[in-house]
Amino acid sequence: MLQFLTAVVSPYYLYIKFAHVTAALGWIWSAATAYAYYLLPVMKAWRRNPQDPEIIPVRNWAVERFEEAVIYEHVFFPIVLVTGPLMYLAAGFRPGVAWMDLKLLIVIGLFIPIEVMDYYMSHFGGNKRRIRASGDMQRYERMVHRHWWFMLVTTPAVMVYGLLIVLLAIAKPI
Amino acid sequence: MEFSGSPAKYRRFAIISSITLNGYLYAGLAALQYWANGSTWLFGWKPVLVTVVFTALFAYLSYRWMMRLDARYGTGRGWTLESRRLKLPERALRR
Repeated sequence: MLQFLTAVVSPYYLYIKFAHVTAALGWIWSAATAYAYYLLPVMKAWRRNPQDPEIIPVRNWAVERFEEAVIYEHVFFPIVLVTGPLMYLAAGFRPGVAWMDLKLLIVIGLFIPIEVMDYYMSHFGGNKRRIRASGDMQRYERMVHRHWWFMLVTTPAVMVYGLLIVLLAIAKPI
Repeated sequence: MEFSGSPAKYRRFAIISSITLNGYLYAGLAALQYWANGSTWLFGWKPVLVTVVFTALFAYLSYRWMMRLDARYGTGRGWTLESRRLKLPERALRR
């Protein structure tokens, strides 16, 4: 079965690679500007002045806009997850190639759980616009806090291990 | 409602997450290499030392990073808060 799949996809290796690399870079960088230059200044202003009532509407607006800004990221991520195994098959990889093993461990153990949480926070049960429309402003505030917690604790890992994945894929140092 | 983040929580999270994540990556890679190739190079003292040093460094950097993101460091002098009356564009909710 694996040999059959490898034979089917291997002629398209470079096209799959094109889709994979494009999607991976889009996934990693598409929300970076929105995060660094639009969301962060507002969130930091809120954290420095948590009692200022004029900051809260801007914070809420920025968070809701950011939840839309990550749509590109969340479209690219499934493309990465589909084209990655296709490339694996097309290139005839087997377990034991160290850089590939480490890359897969990072994606499976770190990024998939983070993205599942991020999908929930941004587009499903944690979507702030829908919670605001429901009128439950206590839940809204709670979910903004939870989302900020999520961003605080995942940002270092996302930046360091996101770049490490690209390094492993390009330089193949181990 | 007050945000529940604090330096002690960030420090604890940074240490625990760094140990968990890097321990998982080291153990996973060592196990895969041994299982697939019979390779034992990851059991030597150098890879273990690199993992331990990186784990400590990542925990330290994560803590500093979280503190900076949460505006616990810095005075914010690069920014001023200006009061304005404004209208924010809101997307209409589709039902």
